[in-house]
Amino acid sequence: MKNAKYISVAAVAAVFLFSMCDYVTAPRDVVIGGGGNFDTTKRVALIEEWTGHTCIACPAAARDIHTLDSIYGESFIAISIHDDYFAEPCPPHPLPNCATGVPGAFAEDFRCPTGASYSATWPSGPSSPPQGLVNRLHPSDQVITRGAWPGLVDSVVNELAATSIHLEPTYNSATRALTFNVWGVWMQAYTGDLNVAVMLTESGMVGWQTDGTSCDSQFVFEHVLRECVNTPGSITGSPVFSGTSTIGTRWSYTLPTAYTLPVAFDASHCHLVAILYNTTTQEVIQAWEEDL
Amino acid sequence: MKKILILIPVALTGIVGALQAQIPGLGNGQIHGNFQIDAQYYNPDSAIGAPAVPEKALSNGFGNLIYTNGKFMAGIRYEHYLNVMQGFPVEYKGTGIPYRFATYNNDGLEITVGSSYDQFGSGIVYRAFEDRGLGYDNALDGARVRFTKVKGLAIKGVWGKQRTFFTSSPGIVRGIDGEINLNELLGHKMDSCKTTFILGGNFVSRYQIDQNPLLDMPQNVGAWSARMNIIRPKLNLFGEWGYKINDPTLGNNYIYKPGTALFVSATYATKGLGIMVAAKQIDNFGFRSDRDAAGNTAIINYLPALTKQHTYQLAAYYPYATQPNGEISWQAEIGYKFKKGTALGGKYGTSLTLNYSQAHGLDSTELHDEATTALGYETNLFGLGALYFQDVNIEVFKKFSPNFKGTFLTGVLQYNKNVIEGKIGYPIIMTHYIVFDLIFKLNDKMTLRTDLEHMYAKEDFGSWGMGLAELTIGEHFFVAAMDQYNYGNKHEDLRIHYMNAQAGYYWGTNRIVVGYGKQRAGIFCVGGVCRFVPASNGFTLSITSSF
Repeated sequence: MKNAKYISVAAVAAVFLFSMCDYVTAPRDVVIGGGGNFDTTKRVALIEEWTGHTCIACPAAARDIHTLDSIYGESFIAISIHDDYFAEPCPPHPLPNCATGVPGAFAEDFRCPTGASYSATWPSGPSSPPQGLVNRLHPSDQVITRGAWPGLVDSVVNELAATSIHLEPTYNSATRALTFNVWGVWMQAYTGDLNVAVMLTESGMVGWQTDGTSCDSQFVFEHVLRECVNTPGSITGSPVFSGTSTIGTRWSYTLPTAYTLPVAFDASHCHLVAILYNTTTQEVIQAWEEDL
Repeated sequence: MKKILILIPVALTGIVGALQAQIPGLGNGQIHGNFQIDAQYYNPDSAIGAPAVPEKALSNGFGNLIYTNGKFMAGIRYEHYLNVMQGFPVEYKGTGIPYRFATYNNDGLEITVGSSYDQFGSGIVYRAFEDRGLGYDNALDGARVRFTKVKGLAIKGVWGKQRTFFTSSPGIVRGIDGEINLNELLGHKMDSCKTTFILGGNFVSRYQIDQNPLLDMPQNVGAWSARMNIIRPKLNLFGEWGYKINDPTLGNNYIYKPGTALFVSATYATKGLGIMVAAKQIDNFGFRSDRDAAGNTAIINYLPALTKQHTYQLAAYYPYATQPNGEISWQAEIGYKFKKGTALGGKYGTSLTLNYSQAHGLDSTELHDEATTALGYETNLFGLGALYFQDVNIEVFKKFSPNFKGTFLTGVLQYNKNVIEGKIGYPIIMTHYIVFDLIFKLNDKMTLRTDLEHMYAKEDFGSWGMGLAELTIGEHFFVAAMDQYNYGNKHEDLRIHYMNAQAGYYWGTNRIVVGYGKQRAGIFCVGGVCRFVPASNGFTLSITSSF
């Protein structure tokens, strides 16, 4: 048939295209656990993610964060921002069907003014969690979804850091007074205006969480944002550097007035996260986390 | 058409016409174009949840210029979002020319470089299209080839990257589609055959680099489908089945289960009677050129909603959005025209349309295999999961006299807000809606249209009533006023009137419409693709023109 040649060409093209398929039978690339040794010359990866107890994909994101934490150790920090619709307590938020009739279910409220400040800066953040920022390496009004986190984290932790960072908290358990000193030494020349924001996070709270098909009343919430200690209610933080750095010189910031840890927070499960960021681009230059 | 224009917010509407014009110096070349500018001034209104807009006023706009000269065609589209209007993706920012192409068609071989729109079969594997009302545009930027040298045989190929706002998606899309019209291919041997047989198949592969250190992501993901169309004088049967290999994405929660899709339809049409039935099953068949994309971004395929596309406000209050992760749905529609002079037909005849559609989730079992094969779940092929959507309605169109005609629509609808909108804790929302759309020709120059609607609902925002009056004066001018009243809201302070007024002037292919009022928040869908429209209060302006 005279048309056979055309059909043959199409068939060959189809066979060629069908070879463009990668079948995966063992999806996991890494063995979870172990943690990496922190290299002081490298950047720390910081994930700031929006989450909520009625966000059905957020438990999976929490597992991703746990996995990243176990792989990258001290080179990885997470802050979980509970804000807006999916973090509202029930009531007024509609109770998930899987908890119908259970008194007090989903009554937890982990929202805080600093979380609202995050959302005001990245309005798309709380709209469809889980999504967030990795060292804020994105345009100012964009956040990224959880599938893109691991690749960016891996990329960041392999980059050389512009500065070292040290966070030295002091906590008086009797008075619950908290102060800190944060400082660093420039390891590369850097030009820009930098602020340091020190966030208070808390882990280990047990509460309700849904994944859409079931409800877990014993879900453990980790890295929950509580407050920005040096500028409460705002993620702005405090200026620490402006201009062009000289390698080997030091920058530092000390909290001028002690912060009183609210009694509702369990100090033994609280952490401070120092975020050094460029006020123009918002990019996080370096970060560090310490327990209280 | 005017009904639609007045019902849809002015800022989202536009008519595009085409008027050819010959430009001196271009030989036989012609330039066509069309433009649209929409703008809105936003008043903050805490009562309806309309936020303050820092810019006060926002504007979207575009202009298409298409040059044709014989076998050659080229075009560009300029777009501006200064800043993007509320409800559209915020990634639309600034100005640019995101769409440009050149096409040459020479003796059965058509080659396009630049941006292109196209679809393979019904689009379940590949469809590049735009809908400006949705803010949706997944044009493919690359090359497109179409071969039609042999009668009865059509082969298409595409290769490129999809548009994502003013950038490109990270994935590369490659695809080929072939279609054989057996009757045309076999020529005289099929002359006596009244049945036309059309067979088709396609393959599309997406390449996206794997940068995930946790999971082994397939960099090349292939999807394909086969289709058959049998056409008789009154009957049209169509079926398409698609398959997609492991494709872990944000949308399917990064599972490695292959996807399938099946779409079948049958239509029968004879004088005064039309019957359509269609069904589809989708199982993990979302397909994007960016595995980490969300929303309406970087979508390669198109999965239509098998539901009636309502144009009336309250009937369309709860539209269905296709669920690419899994659904089983079907639709049937019967249209019948009672003849003139019969008891039900009366003097002018009566048209009746019955429509029924239903969508369910899949009947599936979770495998809890995240740490091993990560297939996610198993599907019971013939089982039905939770109800997602159901709509049963009847529509009657009747002309009562030379100066008076009307449409009556009523239906019952069920809506699973948790699934369709991704919410939590809502019961299935049931509504009963009724519409009276009456058109009175007052005299040779004036026509009055009234649209009275009611939607009864216990759940969610409760019941609504709506009234619209639209006066068309001559051929160039209309004014309209509308009120939507959420009188059944459980919260008394939210029983709000959403009043809106519009006026429009049009001449030739130009149109200017201004409006003022409140717009309620809601879901706006076209063919199962949806976006959220926030509440707003303020002035609107829309200008369109074409040449």
